[in-house]
Amino acid sequence: MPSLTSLRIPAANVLWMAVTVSAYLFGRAAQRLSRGNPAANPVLMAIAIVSALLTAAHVPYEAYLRATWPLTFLLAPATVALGVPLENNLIHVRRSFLGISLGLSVGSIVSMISGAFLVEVLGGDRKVALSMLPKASTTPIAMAVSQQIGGEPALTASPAIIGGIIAAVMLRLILTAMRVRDWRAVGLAAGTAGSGVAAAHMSPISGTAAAFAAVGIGLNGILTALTAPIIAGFVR
Amino acid sequence: MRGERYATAAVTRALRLIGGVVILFAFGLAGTRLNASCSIELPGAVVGLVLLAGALAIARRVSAPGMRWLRESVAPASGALLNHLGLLFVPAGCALVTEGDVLRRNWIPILTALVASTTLGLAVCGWIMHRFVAGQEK
Repeated sequence: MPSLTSLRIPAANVLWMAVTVSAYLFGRAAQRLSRGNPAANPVLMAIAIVSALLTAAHVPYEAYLRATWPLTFLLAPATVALGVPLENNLIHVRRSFLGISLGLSVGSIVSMISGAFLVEVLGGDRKVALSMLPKASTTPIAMAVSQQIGGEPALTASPAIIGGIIAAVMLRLILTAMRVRDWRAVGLAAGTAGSGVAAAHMSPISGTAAAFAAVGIGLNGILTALTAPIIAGFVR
Repeated sequence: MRGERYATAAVTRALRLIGGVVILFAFGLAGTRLNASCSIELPGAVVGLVLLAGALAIARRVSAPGMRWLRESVAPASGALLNHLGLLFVPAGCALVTEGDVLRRNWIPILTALVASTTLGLAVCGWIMHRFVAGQEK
């Protein structure tokens, strides 16, 4: 944090902020060039670029985190901001209350339990299993929940994004095979299982799907925060 | 003259954004405090999200000037933050560099669980929702 008396800003802070923002903008440009291919995810690319640079420059991670504090600082208000799209689309919840509440809660809990216990069964560390538990919810909430239940937020963030990419790719395949064609169901599933990453691919296809995806993201975030600590109690 | 007007408009927009972010922080803080007083263990920002959605829902019903003001001041800031939500967690995501050992030991369980559980969640949620809304009008 810059000191108030001198307004001195360390050069390293400016450098790493610039590197982070540039890597992210580069990722966005790459995704536009690939015509919105979900695999060309800007955040994942930015994380890869910055991690490579940190390793190459032998910069300790704590120093980088301190230099880029304004970005991390904004995660809390950004999480609160998710309430706006949720409220905008809340009208849909009332209209198909039973379908949304059942589909969302069963889908979310199945994804949490299978995520954590598959890691355990396959011989993964306990910390990894706990980090994988909340990964279906939107990344900032997933990281906060991961921290709270004894996981490692960093081991949650990248799986959360990659999970979103998998959901975006699998969406058409799985749901078509199961003859799920209703946009309301497709949107809710995208938001619940793939959070913002998969939901971003809904808005160009169907407004209805995008609205239900927004509901899925918001409600799954809340549900994950409520139930993950309980499920985590069963992870040995 | 024109340039000056544009500059003033840009500053006004920036101030609105900052004001909106401050309101979002206030909701997050209220959520954190509410948590502490009820001794529930939820991330404060998630409770703030619920409080904000509730306040906006009330604002939609009651169109008193104060309520309308809340809607109009929160919307631009939340749009800006959510458009670039990904940028905000790049620093936190880079903590992967400190987890190299864990990743080398666990990449098979991580990838398997990731693909299986995401597909499972997607299929279950989509199928149940489809069953319930199939006969229903849009």
